[in-house]
Amino acid sequence: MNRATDTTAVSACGIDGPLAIEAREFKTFMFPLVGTATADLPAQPGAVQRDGAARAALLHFAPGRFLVPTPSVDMIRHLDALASAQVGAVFNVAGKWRAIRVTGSGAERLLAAGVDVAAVLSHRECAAVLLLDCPVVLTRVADGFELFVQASYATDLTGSLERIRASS
Amino acid sequence: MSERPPRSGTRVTTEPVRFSFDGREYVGQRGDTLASALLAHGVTLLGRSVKYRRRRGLLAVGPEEPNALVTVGETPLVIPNVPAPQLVLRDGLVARSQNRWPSLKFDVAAMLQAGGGFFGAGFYYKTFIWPSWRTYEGLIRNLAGLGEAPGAAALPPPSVEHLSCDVLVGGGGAAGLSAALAAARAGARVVLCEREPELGGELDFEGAALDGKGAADWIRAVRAELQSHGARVLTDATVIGGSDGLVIVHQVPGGLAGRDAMFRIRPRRFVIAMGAIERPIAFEENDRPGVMLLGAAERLLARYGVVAGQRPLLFGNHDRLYAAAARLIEGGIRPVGVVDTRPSATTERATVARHRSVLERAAVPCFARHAVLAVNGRGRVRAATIAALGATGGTRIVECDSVLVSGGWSPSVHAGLHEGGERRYAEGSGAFIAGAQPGWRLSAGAANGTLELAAVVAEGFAAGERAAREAGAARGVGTAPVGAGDAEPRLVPFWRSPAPLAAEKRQFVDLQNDVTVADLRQALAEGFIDIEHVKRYTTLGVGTEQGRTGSVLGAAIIAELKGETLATVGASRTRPPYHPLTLAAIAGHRVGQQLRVRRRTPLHEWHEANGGVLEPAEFWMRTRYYRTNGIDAYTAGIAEAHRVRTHGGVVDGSTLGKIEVAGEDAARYLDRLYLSKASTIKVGRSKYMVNLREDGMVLDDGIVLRLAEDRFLATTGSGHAEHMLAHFEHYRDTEWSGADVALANVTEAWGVIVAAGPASREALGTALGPEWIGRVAALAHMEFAEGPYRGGELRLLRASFSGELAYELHCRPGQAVGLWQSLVAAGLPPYGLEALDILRVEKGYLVGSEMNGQTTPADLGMDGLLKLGNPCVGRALLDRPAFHAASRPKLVGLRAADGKSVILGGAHITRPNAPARSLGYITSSAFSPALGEWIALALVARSDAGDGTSLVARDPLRGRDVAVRVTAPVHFDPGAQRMNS
Repeated sequence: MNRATDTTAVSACGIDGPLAIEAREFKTFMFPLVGTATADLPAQPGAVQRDGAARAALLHFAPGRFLVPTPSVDMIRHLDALASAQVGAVFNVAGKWRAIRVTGSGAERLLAAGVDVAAVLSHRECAAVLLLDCPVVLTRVADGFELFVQASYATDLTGSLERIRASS
Repeated sequence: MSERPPRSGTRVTTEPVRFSFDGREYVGQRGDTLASALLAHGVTLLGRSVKYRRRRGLLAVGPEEPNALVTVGETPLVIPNVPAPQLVLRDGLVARSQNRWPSLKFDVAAMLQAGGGFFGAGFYYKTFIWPSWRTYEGLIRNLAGLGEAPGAAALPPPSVEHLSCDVLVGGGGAAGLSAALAAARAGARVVLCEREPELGGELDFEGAALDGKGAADWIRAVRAELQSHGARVLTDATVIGGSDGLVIVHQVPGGLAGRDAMFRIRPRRFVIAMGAIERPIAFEENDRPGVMLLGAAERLLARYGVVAGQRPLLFGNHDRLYAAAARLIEGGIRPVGVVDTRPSATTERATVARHRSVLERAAVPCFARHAVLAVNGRGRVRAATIAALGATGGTRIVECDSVLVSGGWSPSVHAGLHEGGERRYAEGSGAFIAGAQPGWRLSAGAANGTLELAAVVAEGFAAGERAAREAGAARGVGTAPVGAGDAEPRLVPFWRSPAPLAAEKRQFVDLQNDVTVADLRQALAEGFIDIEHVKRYTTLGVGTEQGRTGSVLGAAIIAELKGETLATVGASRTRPPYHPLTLAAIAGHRVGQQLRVRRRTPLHEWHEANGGVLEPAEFWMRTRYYRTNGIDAYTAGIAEAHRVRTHGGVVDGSTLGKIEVAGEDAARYLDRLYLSKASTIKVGRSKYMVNLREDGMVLDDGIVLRLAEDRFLATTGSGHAEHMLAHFEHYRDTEWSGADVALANVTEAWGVIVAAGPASREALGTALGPEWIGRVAALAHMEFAEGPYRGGELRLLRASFSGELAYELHCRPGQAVGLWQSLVAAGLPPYGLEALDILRVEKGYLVGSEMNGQTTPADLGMDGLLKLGNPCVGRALLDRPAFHAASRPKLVGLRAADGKSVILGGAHITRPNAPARSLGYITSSAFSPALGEWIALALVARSDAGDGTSLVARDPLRGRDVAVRVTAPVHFDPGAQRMNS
């Protein structure tokens, strides 16, 4: 395929971020999830609960471990209730995660420089992976992907993605 | 400028392409390779051999080419060792030959040929030893090696793509295309990779027909069908290796690095169908320009319209000699004869008879049971000496301008060998074919020793269907293609022509490395009997060619010389990468700033903007010192440490690992993981605590804060948070899985600033404002307070890693810069790691190298913690008698006996009268501005660790022996009055 006319070329994508987020993490004491109190949680690792705008609101990114990127008041109240019910514990990790959005037709090819996105997300909606040596939680959004990267890696990851895009 | 009439071939157009070789300009045709274009211009001398600098021409037209390696580009941005037959011409291409000076035609080092006997196998091991190897090293290194390494200029990194698929097919020839077709029809996700720029393998010159179509039409149809099924077809893409179920494919468009791509493919099934590489036969002077593999000559003619020789002599050991000769005649070439090592009876077969009748009509003589003994001619082939095999008597001179040789084929099964696959010798085809493979790998075609086209196609199709089924694809695959082409070659192995002993040094086995039959004989005589040992002693099969043409040939000759079978001798293993790579291709994106991932603290930009010298500490970037405080780490570190002791300062502690532990069982759980109890810590207080491994060795240390009855913050060493979290979770999930405990790494949720020094309390009051002044003043050592600060949250812990009055300020990352600036403005200038280490050594605090995985709490002077008797992980093993032996290390302080000598870390500690027996070593040292002399911490055998003991710090690497005296580890303020002030 001629790269100049390849609509999935790496250059055909946008990189936005990293943006600081006021995230929370929730960790259950038991896994698999048991009891009615956990009925509202996405039960399977890799599942994502989305808000009305289809944005990832609660990501079950590892067994019994949840990421809440931008917690609403209701969500915080819900998690606190779960903690009170001895389901697990809430951790205020504001500042720990940064969000990066990679969008456009070349987004998948760009991320494939570090991880086989299609395979990783073939049977789940989110995944905790090492992308270009940086720990991220990866999920799809309407026009591409959203990456939640630990803050100390954010500059490095963004730089790597931009370099790869520029050199393609 | 040299031009020629246009040629026609399947890969060239008439569009001219200008290029230069060795400074001379030429015009080739679009689609030409450098090799085909040069041969078209009559340039047959394309390289020099590595050892003897013999003149060399083209042997092959694939990555196996051992001779025609060129350097592309201009110094310093050059790419060496590019095989000329793979380098596709592009306008303005600049290439030059290698391993010659001053020119390819006249090379001074070619005089080495005169010493051919002198430079036999392993000559440098035996020859250059007087007066020493160093005497000759420079000259030999200048002569050795392949090509010129690039200078500092870097190639652009290749693109990298991770892929997964149901079926990966390696090889785009008849077998591979058939396999891919079946798999794609079955509904599998297919990736096909082919090392050539075009699909089809050898179909384009064999005159094959498939499904009633000519080869070119069939290939086009298959490609179109593959694409209609969504298969991905990669050309110029070679399987170069693999591991752990991953297959690495390197794509080099046009054969030149710089625009290349690496594919890391994880297939569910992998069909190895990469064909085979033709191999030569060893005879005297078989390295002359003009001696070429038969298949190479056919490819040159069919693809580029290039004639390797107008009057070639064909030499081989199988039926395909006759088909090839007939095709050459049809192409307008007049072979002068066909020399077949087999008895005449073996040629009596219908297909062969058909080709032989063509030869007879053209009056081309066939010499059955004959062999080429040698070629004649200086610089190029002018004639060949042939003789009947097994008979005494005369030889015959046949005038010719080239010898096209074919000794059979070595299947490309390397991709099956890189991850536990095997190969086995197949007597019928005289080749090592794919043997037992892991279940996810299948093989087809030449890899299985199958060479007849109809069988190859059927086998490939079956393999593709099976692979797809095993990967879960269920659709029907239709009927298999039907192919008709060259028949089974009926090869009878023949490896080298008879030669007197003296001529064996001119029978070349590995042309790239000038390995001859004489070298193999010599290696065996010197006791190198295993194929792998022979390889390394003679260099058979090393270098860019990796034994593709010479390895099996060499093994067969070794078998003959040893009187064993080839199956017994075996062939040496190939190693990845299969073809030469640039370092840029291996590095991928990991170059420059991306060489290693770098973690940044919330204060990173401030440090950079304010003279901080940042260095990697594990993955973190940390400030070692500030330029404003000195010209180097030594002077700045002393100045900064002195200022902390006399006034105060702030250091970025954000890298401190932080793990939050929550749940009803959190306290009891932590009790089991630390040498002392967490459950006795009161809310609002903290404790210095130590973790052990199960074997009793110290794993990590840190301060544990009790945030609430059911919540703790456990701090770890910088960069240790991830593995300490894994350690914690391991016990949480295995030993105590029923406990109500949850853990989270909150390292990056908190920036940490440490304010230390006698002025720190007052400065904190100023910086934090009136609402915090009272709380700062009231904090006792190891207490902490939490509360709002400028709209955010702040945790203030009074604890010290410097021995001074000190505080840790934990804030959200977004607040860190503002808080830091307030503290600096309040009179606490920044200091870096160098100063922090000085302060810690002065106080005898562990710097890091003392916790080396081999020290127990007792070794490190933690007797107070041991007395608590908490039954934690690792505690039981501390009672082993060996841990109390006199030879165990003990953490001590050291000072120079003369009070002024420099003591450096890493020096061994010995008794003055026993310099050869190490008692331990210096773990950290520093010049103490507070004491005005060098001080150190060391691990020294308890037998010699008593206070006041005189020892010697021996540092042979740096040539320093310093008399030292043992002290307590705490060099400064042993009563800790400053910290508790």
